[in-house]
Amino acid sequence: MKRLEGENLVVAVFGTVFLLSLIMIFSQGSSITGHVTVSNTTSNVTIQVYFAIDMSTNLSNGIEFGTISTLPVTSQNATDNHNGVNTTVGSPANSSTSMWMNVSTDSNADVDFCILATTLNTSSGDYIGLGNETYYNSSQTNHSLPAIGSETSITSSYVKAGPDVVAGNEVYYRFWLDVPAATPTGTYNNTVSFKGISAGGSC
Amino acid sequence: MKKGVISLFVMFLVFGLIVLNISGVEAGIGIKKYKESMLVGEGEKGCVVVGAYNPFSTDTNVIIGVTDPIKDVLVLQEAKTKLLPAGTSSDEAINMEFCFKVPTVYERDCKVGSFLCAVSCNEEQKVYDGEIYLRTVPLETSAGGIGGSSTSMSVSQDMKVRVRCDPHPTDYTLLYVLIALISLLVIGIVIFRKYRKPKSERIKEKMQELKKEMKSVRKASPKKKPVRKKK
Repeated sequence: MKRLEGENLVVAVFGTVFLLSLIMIFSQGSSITGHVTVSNTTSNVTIQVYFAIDMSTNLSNGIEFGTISTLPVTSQNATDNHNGVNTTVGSPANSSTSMWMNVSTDSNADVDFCILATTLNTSSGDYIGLGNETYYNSSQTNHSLPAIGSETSITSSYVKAGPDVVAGNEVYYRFWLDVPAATPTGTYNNTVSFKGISAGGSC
Repeated sequence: MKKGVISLFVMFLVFGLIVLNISGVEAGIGIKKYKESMLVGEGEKGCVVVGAYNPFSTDTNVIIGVTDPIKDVLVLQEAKTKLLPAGTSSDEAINMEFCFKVPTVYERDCKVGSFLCAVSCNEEQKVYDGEIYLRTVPLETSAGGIGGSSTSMSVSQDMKVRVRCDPHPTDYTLLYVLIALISLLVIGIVIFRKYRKPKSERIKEKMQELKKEMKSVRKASPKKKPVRKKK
């Protein structure tokens, strides 16, 4: 039998090493678990909770405070604070808020509403501190509800603002704005966000 | 007369557009959760699905997302905006998918840097709590207020992502791949060196090698005198 020498020997040795490596790669692959790349986890359990919410037209149009010409101003009413229909007895009539959140009757859970806001600012960088925009909520509305006496500052993180609203019911809001004396003139904008969560949960 | 009719038509058109524009903002959103938590392996791509519905009278665009701390642990997030037609009941909820990739969260025992690693899974299962939410996306045509606060709304439900730990011994795959590549490289170099010269030259070299070999064989074997046969 002819002996392998020189280049042939090198090729034979490295060829064997190559084949052995391939065998080891495949055997390693089959022994290791947990290297799956895709897993689609579609749900197949019983439906637990569903709910739907919507905003009144005036609330979805935005919370407007009109034009303020004299500073300082305390508790400036939002323009829709007193132009709605009373849901409970109160005088004068039709001076309720027209801003509310509603829970659809197509819901199987009570809903807690949460609220947050960004800072009111102008395009040139002037701003009105967040603590100056206040709100209050109530399950009924008339001239005095939601009451200004209970106003609360809107914060930059979600807090409860309308707990445990049953399907088919509403929670009513009023908003007020304080404008400090030294506030530069301009058009101030921000975003107020409402979030509906399953009642009892945290915002 | 004709001009008057046209201007009246234009006025009605503008008024109609304004009304549509304002009513377009009034829209609702509903969420239907199918799962309380989901189990995904490290490095795997997972998709969480919730139902979105809109039992109200106006179409709305919604986007799906997750909040911290689930958000912090996910390395890939894909979410698309979807149009929810008005009058979609909870029974007709449209599935919305939020896909993500879970990074490596369990401790690894690696022999070289972050290579040749083993996972023993001695730790407790990692669970990330957060919320999955559906948020309305304002339509491009929606009216915007001048000054004051614009409003947005969302609905959310709790969601847990549990990361599965898959124990495995040291993974030598990379090392084997490296050895295989080196072997291929060496074989390639040898073959290249062998066949880079023309055939005639290779034959000459082989002849010379053979001659050398014959000479060395002659030198190695002692010269024997031819034996004469006796007559």
